[in-house]
Amino acid sequence: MTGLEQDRQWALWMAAAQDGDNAAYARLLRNILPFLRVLARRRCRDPDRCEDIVQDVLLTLHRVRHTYEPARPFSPWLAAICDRRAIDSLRRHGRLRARETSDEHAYETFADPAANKDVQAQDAAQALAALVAALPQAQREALELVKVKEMSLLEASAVSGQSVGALKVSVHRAIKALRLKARAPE
Amino acid sequence: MSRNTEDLIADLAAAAEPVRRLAPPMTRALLWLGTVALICAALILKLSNLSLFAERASDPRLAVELVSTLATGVAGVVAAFHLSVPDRPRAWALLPAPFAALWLSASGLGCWKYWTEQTAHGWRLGASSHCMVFLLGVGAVLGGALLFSLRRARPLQPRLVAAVGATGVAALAAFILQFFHPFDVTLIDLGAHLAALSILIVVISVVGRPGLA
Repeated sequence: MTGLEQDRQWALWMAAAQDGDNAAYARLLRNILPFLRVLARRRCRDPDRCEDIVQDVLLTLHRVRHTYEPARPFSPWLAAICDRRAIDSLRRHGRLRARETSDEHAYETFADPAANKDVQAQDAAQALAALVAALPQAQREALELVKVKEMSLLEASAVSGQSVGALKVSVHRAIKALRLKARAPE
Repeated sequence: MSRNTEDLIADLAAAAEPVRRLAPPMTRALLWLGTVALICAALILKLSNLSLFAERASDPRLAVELVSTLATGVAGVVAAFHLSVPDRPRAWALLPAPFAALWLSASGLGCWKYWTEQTAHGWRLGASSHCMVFLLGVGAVLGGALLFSLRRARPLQPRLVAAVGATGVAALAAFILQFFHPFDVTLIDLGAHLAALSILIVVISVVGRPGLA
């Protein structure tokens, strides 16, 4: 079907829809979807926002369907509505972006402080991991084997090759260093 | 919007009642202008001094001013009706511009012509305040009637439609004023007219936007 034939078909369905033919209206709305999606994609790249624009155009078409004159081509009428709604959407999006900032943690924050413990625990774990990574190799290894993996001193000694005494000293120094760094102002 | 598009189409199709088609914009504009012309003609015949008006209109400069004022009004109204439907180009908004330029030039020329007289006798405030009230009153009535007629089209660009329509209505009010204005405008009069017309355009545009949306 050529563009002209398609436009005539849409115009006929629209005229029938104006007269109350619900089946013709449903056929028309389904048939124009690809056309609307192409027009919307010319104005925005985000697929979700494109679909929002398409739905907005469908709602507007429904609201102003009495303004279509069957003697005139249908596609320019539809394209004008789509253009207008796409511009409105871009403006709305621009205004929102100018006024709002995105905070990934904000989505996980609840009014009840107890509900936020998971987020706080994640933050604390990330901070502690950074401090542990900054420790000397021997201290970090001793700490991970004895405190994180909860091995006995003998098992840790066999894995690391350090003596039991050296492991005790390394764990003690590592914990002391972590305490000092955690208390120090950032 | 998180609704599924297919569901939306099903809902819209189910809710589609028959609608009464809107007449073409030119037909609607001519109908509106014809109605206004009939009412105004009746009032002018009854209330104005037509012989004095005819004498003044014999001045070519005033005749140009009158014709351009009326043309600005008609062009503004016709453009507003065209802009109220989705598929008419935005260039319709420029239709009143050349006539408005001619109208303001002709009015300005009148002020310049009488400049020496005015400065010799001091600034003549004349009937400026009455003119302002007349322009605002007539303009408000015509503006309300125009917005009411445009409302059915539910324009996609209500601000633009209201602004262009307001320009037309302001010009029509200025044209009608000429039948009740038996003297040439001074600079002060012109300023008062322009102030009244600007107020009209701003108010109708501001009120018209939510009214038409």
